Amino acid sequence: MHLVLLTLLKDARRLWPAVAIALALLALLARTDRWRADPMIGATEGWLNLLLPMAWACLIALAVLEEPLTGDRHFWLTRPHRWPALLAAKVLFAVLFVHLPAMLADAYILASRGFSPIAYLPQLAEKQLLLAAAITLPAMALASLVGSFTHFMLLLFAVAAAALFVGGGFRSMPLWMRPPDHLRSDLTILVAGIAAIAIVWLQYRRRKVSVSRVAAIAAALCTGTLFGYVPETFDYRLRAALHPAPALSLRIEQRPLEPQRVVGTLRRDTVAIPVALSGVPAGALCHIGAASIGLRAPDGQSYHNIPFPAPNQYDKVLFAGRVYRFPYDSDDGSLWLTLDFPRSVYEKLKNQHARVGGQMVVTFYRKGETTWMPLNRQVFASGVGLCSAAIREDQWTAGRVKVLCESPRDLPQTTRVTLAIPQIGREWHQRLRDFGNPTTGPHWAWLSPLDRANTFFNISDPRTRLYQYYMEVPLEHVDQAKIGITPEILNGYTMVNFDFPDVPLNRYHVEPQTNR
Amino acid sequence: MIRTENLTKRYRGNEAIHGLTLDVPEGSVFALVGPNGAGKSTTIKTLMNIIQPTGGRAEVLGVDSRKLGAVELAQIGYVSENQVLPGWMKVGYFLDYCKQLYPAWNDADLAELVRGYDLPLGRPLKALSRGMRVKAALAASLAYRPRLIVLDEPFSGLDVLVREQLIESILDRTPEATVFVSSHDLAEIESFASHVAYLNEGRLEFVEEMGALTERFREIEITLDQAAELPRELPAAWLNPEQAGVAIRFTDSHYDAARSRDEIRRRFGAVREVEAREIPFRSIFLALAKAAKRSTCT
Repeated sequence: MHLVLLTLLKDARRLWPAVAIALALLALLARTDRWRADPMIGATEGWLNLLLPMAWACLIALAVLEEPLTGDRHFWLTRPHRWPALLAAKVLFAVLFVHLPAMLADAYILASRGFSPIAYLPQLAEKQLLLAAAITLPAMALASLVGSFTHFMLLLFAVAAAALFVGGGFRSMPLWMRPPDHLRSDLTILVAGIAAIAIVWLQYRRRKVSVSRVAAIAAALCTGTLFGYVPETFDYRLRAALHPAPALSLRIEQRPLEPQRVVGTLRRDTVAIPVALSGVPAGALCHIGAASIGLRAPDGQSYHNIPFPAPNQYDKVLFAGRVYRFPYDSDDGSLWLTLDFPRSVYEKLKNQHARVGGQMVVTFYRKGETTWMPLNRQVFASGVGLCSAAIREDQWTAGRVKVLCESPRDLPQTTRVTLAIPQIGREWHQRLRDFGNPTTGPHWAWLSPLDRANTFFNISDPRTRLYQYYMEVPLEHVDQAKIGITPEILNGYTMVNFDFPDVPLNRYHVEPQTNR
Repeated sequence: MIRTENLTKRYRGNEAIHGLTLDVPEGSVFALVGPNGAGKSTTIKTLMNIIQPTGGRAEVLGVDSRKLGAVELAQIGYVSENQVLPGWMKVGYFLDYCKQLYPAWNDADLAELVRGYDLPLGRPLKALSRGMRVKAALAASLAYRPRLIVLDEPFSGLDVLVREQLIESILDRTPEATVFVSSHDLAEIESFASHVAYLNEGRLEFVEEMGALTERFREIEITLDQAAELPRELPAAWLNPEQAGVAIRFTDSHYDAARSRDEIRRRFGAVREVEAREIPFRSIFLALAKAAKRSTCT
């Protein structure tokens, strides 16, 4: 213990400026997070969510590099250090100057937002484990493999660039449409954490630099492959195995195209095939998840879908396909399999009969208990978290009712929000997370201890509007509105394979929105 | 104190040490000499468990060098010319930090060393001259009265006064401590080593007591009656033979007055004069290095 404290005090004495910078960044982030009443984060918080992990990683690397584990000229190598004491000192440094302040900051944010930190201690501890697996341990492992801080920084930027490259998908999707993809990222972090522990142990125990570097490269390839190249369906397959739901099949249904329901995509040709699911038990509720779709033309040409292309890549995508229900918020809307093509591609295919097949995910859920609340109140919604509803005015609309829910636990993937005005017998429906994040720059508040989600109901003001849009809430009645929060509890997953060998594409063609 | 047996270290096909077998007696001042790149530092790093041997084995303080741990390191004082010291530490803090690592640390010894070396306690190590840095490292390695002092080219680049001061303070620790020192500076070794091992291209050329070594090396100068061609076949112990007219010079590496004289007579017949001169260690080293170079070239 004496050697542990000796090394720790020495490191603290040496690295106090770096510790102070990291603490200042953390304090700034905690203050910003504490006042945020929105899932969308500002640029400052976005950058802080990137900078702070970098600062932590650098701090830990600096501590490790006080006694570098590579090279053969360092003073400490011939001094009577015991490796467990040295390692314990570095771990204690990380706990004292990274994890403890981070946990205190989280507790402060929770307390400020109306949650008892004591009640959510497991969540706070879980987040520290996540930080350890994602930042502390990998930073220690990286630092144990390099001889200088410059090399560490170069490696850190390379790893960050690779992570951005590999994890850059899904950005354009509305939040609620994103696949429940925790499993894949959790597995990735788990593998990274275990590999980091092995490398750190190997380096402190034996200083086997070559072996450790090979292990690190293998672990990096493994985590990159796991995160970047394991298909989304892997997550679903595992979920389907763990939580099986009834087997379903997809069939083409002969029903007329409903132009008001299926809207052609801007400047692209859309083929909308009416489909229906067979085998859904009576009364069961389900969502359609991501689908992988393939199309084979009679000439042998194949196309595979990109379900949610990034906006700036849309014109380059030859074929985008998905299966969805319309209207999105209904339980009994009609199902459509849509295929989007650029005009040039569609012109080649339009008079042909193509083979369309693929695999899609259906998630079964049940409705949780609905919690009702009036406007301008905050209530604890069962199965969701602390929710509030208030009218927000802005310069573009007559105002909006904003519903915000937040919780130290993960909010349900889908939560229904109902705005009801019993006096006029009307209801409006939304889902939490159905508004994407339009901010530029980093916008992932992954360091926040709170999961926040919101939705909006637009208000129409008869004094400024000649007619009232059916989705808007009339201003004169909005004071009487009450808000219902209903979590959807996922309880089963099914993978549905489908194969339609002879689809006449032009029969299901939808005209583009605008003339070219 | 130190024992190696067929110690070998390879780096990607290059053999830095080849089958080194050494025995460093307790209480000795053992010098490992050789030209640059001979493998001296590699040998020391292997002994100190900084790097692992590829083959053979080494024992330090009776422990396999691969298992050298905190207990043994607490009895070893190590100073190297290439050692990276924590430059940000002030000398006082550095010594205080080291003190915590050694149970046998002696404050009185340290005070004497600090006074003797005139160490500026308030200055960071990185701001010190090279000589001062070596003094600080040595002070931090002697204040706990180590059983074994390992020095890897500790004095290179230091002025004579500093060198003498450091050597004196090291010799003060003997014979309680054994000193194992590597150097390519032969003058400094000659002044205080009791044993010497000569390493060349990773191979041990010889190892023996200093006195015996200087005793068996002589520079021989023969004056012939008349000029004659230098015989092709000469004993292997006669190093670097040269001829200039009637004079022939070489270094006899196994000198024995009677035997050497007989051998000269047998090779050259009657000679006018034979002179055998004692030579300093530096000349022995140069003769060996030159001979090794010749044998490599031929």
